[in-house]
Amino acid sequence: MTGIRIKKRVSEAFALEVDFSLGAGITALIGPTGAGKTLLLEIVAGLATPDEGRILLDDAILFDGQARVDLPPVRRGCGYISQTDSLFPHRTLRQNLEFAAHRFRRLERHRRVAEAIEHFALAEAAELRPADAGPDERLRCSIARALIGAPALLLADDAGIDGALFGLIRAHFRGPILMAARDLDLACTAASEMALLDRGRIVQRGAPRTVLDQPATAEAARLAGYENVLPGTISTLDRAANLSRLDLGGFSLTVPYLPGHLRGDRVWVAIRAAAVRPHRADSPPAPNLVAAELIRVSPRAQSVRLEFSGSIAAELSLAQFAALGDNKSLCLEFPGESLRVIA
Amino acid sequence: MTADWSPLWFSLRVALLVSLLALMIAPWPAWLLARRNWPAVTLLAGFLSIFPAVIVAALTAPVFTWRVAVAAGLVRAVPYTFSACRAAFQSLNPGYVKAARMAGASDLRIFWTLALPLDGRAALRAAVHVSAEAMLEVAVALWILGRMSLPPAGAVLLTALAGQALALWLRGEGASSVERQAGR
Repeated sequence: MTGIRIKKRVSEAFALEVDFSLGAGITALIGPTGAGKTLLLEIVAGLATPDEGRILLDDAILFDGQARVDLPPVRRGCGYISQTDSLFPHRTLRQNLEFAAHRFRRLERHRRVAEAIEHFALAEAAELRPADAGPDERLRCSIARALIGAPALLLADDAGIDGALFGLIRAHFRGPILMAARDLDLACTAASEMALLDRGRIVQRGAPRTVLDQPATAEAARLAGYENVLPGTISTLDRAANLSRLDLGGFSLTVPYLPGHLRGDRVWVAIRAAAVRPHRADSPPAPNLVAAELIRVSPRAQSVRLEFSGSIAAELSLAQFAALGDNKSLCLEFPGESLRVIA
Repeated sequence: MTADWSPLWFSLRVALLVSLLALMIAPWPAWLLARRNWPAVTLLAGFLSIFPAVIVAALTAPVFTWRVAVAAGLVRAVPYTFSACRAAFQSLNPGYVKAARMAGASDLRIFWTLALPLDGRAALRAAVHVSAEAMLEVAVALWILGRMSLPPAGAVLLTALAGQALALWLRGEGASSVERQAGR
């Protein structure tokens, strides 16, 4: 198995503490800047040392705090793509690949470099220095460099690798990939598993769809891209009518019966901005329709973001926004099927 | 009466040897200590970098030979070059070092293949600068000892100024090569 269970205290305020096993596919590590993604990848690669714990890769021990095992990076069988471009600037792309393969004998080295250049379409740029090559070529060269030693695990920091490039990587690398990302769309496209990292801890993991649709905690909901995560209290629980009422300070919402809860329980209600539906104030009453005051309108590339009092955000298509007209007093509909109640 | 030019050859020889030896001695320890913070080393190097060792040696040593002058010159040149190299190595992109370590490169190999090619100019600049100053110090020492007349003193001064100009030029070139590295 491949598993990572480590602790590392970085400062008074921040400690990385994770314990998870890695599947055979691509695992996306999602978290904001400063959540510890890069540190985690560096610890697995052997570029940083944890305080305690154990790292296994295909049952081989890479690090064990108690047994004092700490393999050097080159013996760990990990390929590492750093977040920033770190090709050596005074060497050509080919020489960069040769440097990465220098531990192999001459013939083997040449074979691997030639193969890497072919697989990652670097023939044209091979004799250029990184500054003279294009950003795409530099990125492909960084990937080729990380894979040149035929690693058992690829660690890819948030380096701007897109879905197409992950496809290219998959064509030449079969092993597991642990990638750090901030882009949820990319994680959905490329990854088979997703782990949400918040302030050094994994708050939820699972298949991307499951994690995105069923966040387990308020932090997970925020990381999964829910713009509205509102605190509330359960005010009514009616099993017979299959409904619960949630008091969200100023308004209340009706959702299906919440088993295993008591009246007065504190809960979180999460809903994506795109799921909140603004209506004109004179529209007929409907369930979960709440009057709200529009505070700000911010145009986006393909949509319009509306911000309401109570820090509620809604996102509309341009056509929907035009249909609302120039109306300051609006109602917000919270469709029941889009509401996520989090204990 | 012709002037005695031997002080010029004396100070030139000292300056050349000081810069060569400083370049051979200082960069490797600077690389080893680049990622460690030892205030005592920093303080000592800082103090020795401004210590006029050649003049002190000229005033205290029984005979002021070129060997004494070189040894005294190194007392200042090595710490100065060390500090300059260390500062340059500390600004080396940590991503390069990590990539090299992933490839299994040793400290020595990273030093030869990354630190020196990318930041060697800083070492060269520091050695040239400090040996030009050593040359001036030798001239002052010889003048104090009454062993130098005006023409060689003028020549020493001009040579030392040329050395400083070279150091300045190297600094400008160094800056532009850093920009090239960054792909700007």
